Amino acid sequence: MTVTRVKVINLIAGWILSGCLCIGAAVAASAADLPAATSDGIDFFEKKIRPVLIERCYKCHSTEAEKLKGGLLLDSRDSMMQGGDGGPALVPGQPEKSRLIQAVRYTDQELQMPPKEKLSAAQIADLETWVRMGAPAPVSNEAQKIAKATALNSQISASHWAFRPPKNPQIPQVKDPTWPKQPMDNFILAELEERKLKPVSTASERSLIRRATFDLTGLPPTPEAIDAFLNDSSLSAFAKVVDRLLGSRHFGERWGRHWLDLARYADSNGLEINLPYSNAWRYRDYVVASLNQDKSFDQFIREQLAGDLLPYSTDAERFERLTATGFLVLGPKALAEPNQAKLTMDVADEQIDVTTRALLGLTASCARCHDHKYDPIPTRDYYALAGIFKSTATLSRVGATPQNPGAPRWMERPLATADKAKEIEEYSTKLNTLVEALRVSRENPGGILSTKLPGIVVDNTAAQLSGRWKTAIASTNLFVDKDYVHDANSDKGKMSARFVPNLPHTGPYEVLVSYTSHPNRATNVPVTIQSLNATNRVLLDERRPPTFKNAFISVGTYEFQAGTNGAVVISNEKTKGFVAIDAVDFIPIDEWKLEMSLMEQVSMKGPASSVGPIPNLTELGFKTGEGGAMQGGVGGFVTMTGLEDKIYDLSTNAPPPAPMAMAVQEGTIENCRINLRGDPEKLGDEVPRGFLTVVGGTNASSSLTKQTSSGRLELANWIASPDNALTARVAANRIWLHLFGKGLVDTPDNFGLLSDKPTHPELLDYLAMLLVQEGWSFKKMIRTIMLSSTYQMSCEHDSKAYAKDPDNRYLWRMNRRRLESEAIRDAVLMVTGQLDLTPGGPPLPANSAPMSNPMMGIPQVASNRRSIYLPVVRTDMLDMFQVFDFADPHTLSGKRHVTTAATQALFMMNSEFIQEQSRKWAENLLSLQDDAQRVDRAYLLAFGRPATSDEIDRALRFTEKLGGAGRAESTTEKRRLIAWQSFCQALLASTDFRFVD
Amino acid sequence: MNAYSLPGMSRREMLRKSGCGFGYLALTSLFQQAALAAEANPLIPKAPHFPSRAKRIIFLFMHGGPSHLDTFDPKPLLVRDNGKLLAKVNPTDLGAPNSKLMSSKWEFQKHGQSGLEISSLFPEVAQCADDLCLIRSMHTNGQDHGQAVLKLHTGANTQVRPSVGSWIIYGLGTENQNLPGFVTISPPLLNGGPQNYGSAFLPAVYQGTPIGRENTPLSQAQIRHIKNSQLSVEMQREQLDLLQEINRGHLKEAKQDNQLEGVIESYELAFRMQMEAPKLTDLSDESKSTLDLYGIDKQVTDNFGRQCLLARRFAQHGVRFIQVNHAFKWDQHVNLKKDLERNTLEVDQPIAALLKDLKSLGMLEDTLVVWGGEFGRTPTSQGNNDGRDHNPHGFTVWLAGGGVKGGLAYGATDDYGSRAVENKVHMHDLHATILHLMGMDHTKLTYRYAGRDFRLTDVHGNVVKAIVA
Repeated sequence: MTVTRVKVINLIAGWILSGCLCIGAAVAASAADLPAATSDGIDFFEKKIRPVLIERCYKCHSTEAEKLKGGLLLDSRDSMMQGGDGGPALVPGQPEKSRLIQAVRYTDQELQMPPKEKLSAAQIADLETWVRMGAPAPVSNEAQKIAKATALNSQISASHWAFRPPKNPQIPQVKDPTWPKQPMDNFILAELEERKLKPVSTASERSLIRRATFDLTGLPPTPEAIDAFLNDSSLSAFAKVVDRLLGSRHFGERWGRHWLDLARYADSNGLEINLPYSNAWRYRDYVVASLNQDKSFDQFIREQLAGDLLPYSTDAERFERLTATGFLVLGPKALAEPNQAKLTMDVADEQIDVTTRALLGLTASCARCHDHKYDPIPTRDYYALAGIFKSTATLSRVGATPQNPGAPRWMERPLATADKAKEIEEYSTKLNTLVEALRVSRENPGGILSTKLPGIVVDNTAAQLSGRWKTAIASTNLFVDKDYVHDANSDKGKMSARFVPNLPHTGPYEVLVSYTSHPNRATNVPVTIQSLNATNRVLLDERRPPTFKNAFISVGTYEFQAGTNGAVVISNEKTKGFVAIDAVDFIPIDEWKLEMSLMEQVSMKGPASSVGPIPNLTELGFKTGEGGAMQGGVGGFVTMTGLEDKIYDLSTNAPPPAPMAMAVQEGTIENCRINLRGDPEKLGDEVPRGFLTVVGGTNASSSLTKQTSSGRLELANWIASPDNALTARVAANRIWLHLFGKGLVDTPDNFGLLSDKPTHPELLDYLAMLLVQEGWSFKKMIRTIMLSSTYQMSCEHDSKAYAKDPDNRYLWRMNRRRLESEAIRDAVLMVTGQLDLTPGGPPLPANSAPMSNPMMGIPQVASNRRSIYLPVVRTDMLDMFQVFDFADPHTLSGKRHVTTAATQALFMMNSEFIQEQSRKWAENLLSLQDDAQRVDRAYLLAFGRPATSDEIDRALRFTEKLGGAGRAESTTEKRRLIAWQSFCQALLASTDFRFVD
Repeated sequence: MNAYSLPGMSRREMLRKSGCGFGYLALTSLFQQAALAAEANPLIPKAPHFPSRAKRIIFLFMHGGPSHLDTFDPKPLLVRDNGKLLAKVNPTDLGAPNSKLMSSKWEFQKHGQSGLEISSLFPEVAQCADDLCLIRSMHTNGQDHGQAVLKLHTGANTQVRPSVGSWIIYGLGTENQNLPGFVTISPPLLNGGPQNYGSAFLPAVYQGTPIGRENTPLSQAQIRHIKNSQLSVEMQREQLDLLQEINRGHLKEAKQDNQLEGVIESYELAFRMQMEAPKLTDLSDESKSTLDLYGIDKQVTDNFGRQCLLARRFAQHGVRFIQVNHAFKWDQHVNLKKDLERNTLEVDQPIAALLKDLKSLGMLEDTLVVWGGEFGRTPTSQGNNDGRDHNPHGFTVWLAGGGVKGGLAYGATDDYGSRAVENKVHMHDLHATILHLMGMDHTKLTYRYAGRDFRLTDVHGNVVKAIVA
């Protein structure tokens, strides 16, 4: 109860404070002490305002409203400030900014309230006065509501099984003490006895080893392993099998895959821009390794949520932990979302969703738009979490320019030592700058855009050129737009350029000519100006650098008629040296005078012509045309593309790239404001970063006030704590699920109020506590369960038990389970001898998937590697995975669907994969001597048992018949192979193969 | 070994007759058989929430965003103010104020008794005007293709959600168990690709079955794995007999297991599908006049004609949801005149053929045909005055058959076609209406996932009752 009261007081203090701030901003500082709730103010509210609200507004805008309109509640000052779909309704102290006032004034056509009849002038005036006063109102309404809600929440928290801390349960007494091998069996048996059910017999040894091998490694047992087990008569024979399998590196491949289902692992982004995640595999390998090492589960959690913040003693350890945070980065991202605020919140939402569902079995992301409909998770709690994730950098940007923030991508961090990382970073900064400069120079090689110049510019591209002018971009000064022309110091007297402007009005214009100067230029270039009343001729010295804007020189002021009546003609007649021509600018005289006066002002501070518009180049210490590129120019025309050489030189000396991992880092640390109805444009109160109050997150989150960290580490510690009522329970239930095909709680990702009730709540508590006691070891827990009588039951049918409990909720037998898509594929490859057991590494050949190209579909990689190492491309999947219910990699899935469909049958009957594998297997079998031996061997490999003589007879009748059929033109050998291949295929397609008993 | 054959009846025959699979092995009350069938096959037909005319849907998807202004939404003021700045004539339009309005280059005329105005780009479809229900006030979310295409297909564009077709067969099952319940003919690879016919969190049986893919001639398209490349039908039947014997041996040992029975049945189903589906996709048994009607073997209409005819054949054979995709060709930022003429030439005759054909077969009344793209286009010009930009704020979608009012133009955009203003229909409303026409209440078609009940329309959607006949 104390907790509740403290919370209420905090909340009230919170909103009074925020109210004060608003007032402070609106009026003089002295008014800041105007309390929102002076007794006069409250009197005014009660007498003048509340009655109007009740009478004219509450029908649609109160908690009691039959149908709430526009999401707007006017019950309290707070809810008015929070507002509805249209934004806050009330800004205390500022009637002009309060939508409430705008609405009642009826001045805005779109916003008129109450809709049917305008309030009286007096009522409107009262409302305005009230808002101007700072909107004083009693706090009781809201406070009561919060108190009520909080009380309700804590009541729910106290009563819902999953939110109560696990209690160490008593081991139940059972009538048949011989059956239990260990305490967990007592829980199962007691429940069965209670329901007058009996456990069925123990599974055969062959079933047992097949079951255990699939469960722990996702592969079938080898005939040798089966023999060894059958020949081991010791009591610990099965324990030895379990220990051997737990020690196998294939354990991590199997159980790692279970975890990857939760981590919505994929090698591509998915959604509409399906970019490859070419470094995701490092996270996948991290997961496999962690499970093989039997890393304690609490540590596993901490690394994935906050590995970048954990202390480390070696570089290897640091890299491992950085890689672990890939968990937060792997989600699909709406990279095309134009609204950046929304994208950021979507990413945080996805992280909240995966974190809370995978680790806590809570659907916290339901509270993004409104308080959770079922669970005691208020929107405030959601935004407390959102603050943590928003303060975490998950997105990065590519192609940013000063004008453009760049396209959103995800964060990847180098797995490199500090020195190495610095070297790489410096290199990439340099390179990026050069590349950017090159881009700029390519877009605008001249450095001046005609559109940015005063007056009417006629560029060389718009001039009427006669003769063989050559185009160039090399220059020692600036020029206009993409290029200029020169005469190559030849064809003297045969070349001219006529520049005809389209002038807006008649009057005097300053005429300026742009050229590129150089010592090889002509000093006597004739420029003819055909103006209104005269034709004038000027000689231009192109060795002199131009003075205006580092590109132009003035040839005088002339009178022109409006339109296209005037012209400037430049020729190479009687010139010595190169003639270069770029543009002519006709500037109305008034504008020109203005330009000149500006130039003078600038020149008092320094030379105007030195203001270069390619800052990047100068910043880099380049002068245009510097360097070896000089030689490439025609007649001393230098190239600008010295940049390309620079880039080339730099990149040939590039430090070898560091391996990159998808990983997060701390971002801008800030609390999140409530997004009203989930809309990031409509912001409500700021919420301090914190955890979920439903499972005791209040106390712990008081430490999240540091401005230096997001709180992710604290969040990880809070989740990975033995005191968290949910974490161990959720994990223990997942382990159970993977060993029995069904959890004790059948909704493994949701332990909230809508969850399935646990069939054995005490057993779940027992397992949860055991998990913690045993140091959060998955392997120990798995071993314990597998050595129980419960796990070792057969799948035998018992009609009496079936009548009472057809779904086997109480575990009177073992569930028969269909293998997952990966297990079927891997088993096929193993049986046919084609399985490639190479562990880890990138799923795609290097460079097969450039980062910039969205993936259209799954790359056709001919690979016989274990399924976990195949690329997971969101939006597309291997046919086999698609038909056999692979987990949708866009979102976490704790429990896969198990469907039966004709598409599966078609796949087993006709797919190239199955046909090909059946053929390979048939070829293997045909190398054996004897037909019966072949059938027997095939059964042993596929089903883990020898064939009966009936089965052998049947198989041989089949191969004989099929071997005799087939196309006449094919050879006996070929027909025989097809017959055996068809037999092999039948075994692979059978239920015995696809299911585990 | 044939311990399970009944005397006088081949096992195959028996399988065909037992209908629900190996139900005879299970406890035999009818109720249990039905439950078993539902478990073994979640696609068996289910009753709608209320009686409805439409039994199936054919959705003609024009990928890229067809221009409503040049096809189904005439705008006299746009013609009058051609070339003016948008900001001048309609300052409240926030679209592209500094762009110029561009009138349609095609004439609109009234058609049929209803007098629906349709442009000269759709002369053949215009002949069916009295069957069309134009919704001229569509609007949606998503300025980009990816977002709008996903919105159209799944009702969501930032999260992965089941597609409309998946929801429909989840709700209604399908009539022919020998064929997929939801097919999509030549689906696009871009803009969400398979997600547009994916089942997301619904079980995989509800996902769409692609037939061919975008930009691959339909004549080469087929359902995945529908044909065995090595064995003759007889040989494969032999193989299947062996396989089913092994399976039944397993089942016998298990005594009772719905899952195993389901698998056994799935093989028979697949075998029948193998027989039926290729026959269905092979158009050679259609008459010359039918092929001519659809414009098949005429170069410009051949491919889409085949798609539409295939859609009709699927519809005849009890497929519930059939999507026909016209490739990503409707994005006329430039070359509006040339490309829109080409596009409409490709689809006009086949679409009209489909409507007429369905009608003459008496199927139009229980087949809902939907035509549309992910959004419309702006009244302002782009690309040298020969293109239009994306416009999610106002566009046209039309419906025909299956319980909608024909010859109706519902809703309107503003004077220039920028925005839907009158009787606005959001994409969620269209989805709600489609479900309604199929006999389902969009607020009741839910699936429990991740702690709550999900719907196609999320928390939105209003049925547009005014267009329901």
